[in-house]
Amino acid sequence: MNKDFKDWDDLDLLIEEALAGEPLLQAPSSLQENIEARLDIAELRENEERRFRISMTSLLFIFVGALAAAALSLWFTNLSVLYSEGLSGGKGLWDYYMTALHMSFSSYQGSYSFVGAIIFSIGAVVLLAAVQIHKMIYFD
Amino acid sequence: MTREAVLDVSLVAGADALGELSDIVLVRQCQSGHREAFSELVRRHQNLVFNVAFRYMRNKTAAEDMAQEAFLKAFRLLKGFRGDCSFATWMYRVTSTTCLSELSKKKRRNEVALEARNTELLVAKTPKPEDLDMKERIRRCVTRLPSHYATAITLYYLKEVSYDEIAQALEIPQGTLKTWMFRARRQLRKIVEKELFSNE
Repeated sequence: MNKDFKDWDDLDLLIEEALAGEPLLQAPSSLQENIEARLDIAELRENEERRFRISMTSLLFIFVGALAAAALSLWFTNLSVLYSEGLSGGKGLWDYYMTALHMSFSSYQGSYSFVGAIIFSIGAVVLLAAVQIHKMIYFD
Repeated sequence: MTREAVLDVSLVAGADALGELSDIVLVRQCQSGHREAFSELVRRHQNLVFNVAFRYMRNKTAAEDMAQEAFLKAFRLLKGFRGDCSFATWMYRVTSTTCLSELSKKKRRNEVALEARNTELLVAKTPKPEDLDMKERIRRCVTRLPSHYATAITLYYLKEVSYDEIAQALEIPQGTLKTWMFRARRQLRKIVEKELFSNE
């Protein structure tokens, strides 16, 4: 073959011919279809990632909320007094909390049930919202 | 007219309307979450993207895979497209990057050598006219150039791509592109010479 390309010009010409003469191909008919299918999958994956992110964030909020509620209940039940005064033996958890609340709010004249109902309702709404976010079904 | 028929008519009307819009309008629609606009962009540019991919991969199946990858990548990156260049130019860049990174991955996995061997075996099994074979071998040499030279050469010889568009796709001034083209041709000549004459 070397004898066919004695000078650089011949080779240059051949390269030029090979590259410039390459015909344009028609894209396969399945290309667009496959891209659409893969885009659908990508969108599903994106939705799943978003759902996972939101559900993890909401779970974190619930966890932090539960910790805060536990800390508040401990604060309200005035543990230090309970430690120092103690409860008589044979009494259950209900008596423990009732005594603690009475000791904490001995001067409070309002409605415990009203405050309790509000806290319970807010908690229920937060839980329901979290459950709904968890579902977050994909709609095309 | 039934509800389905009304929906069909509106879809066809929508598709027609999309067909009349310019690329940049379609891009803006995509950026605001309009999937059909992206489908229209795919329909318009699939041939060019496929051809760019084919010139890097030299294989129709691999080129189709790369074209798909390039469009998916474009879909993900489209939010960052500011419209400094045309969508087609931007797609050349995305396709070239996708193909080159795939080729370099293959090189790392030593797949290129194997593929070349397989192709040679195939060529040996199915005799072709000598002239056609040589041209294909020359075209394959382009992928052995450094990536920026390969992109410049590939886009230059692809019809419908202007010098200005190549410079924009590579994000370089036209003067630099001319220098790159000169050096790319010189390197390509050496690679082709080695490829054609060493096998004789």
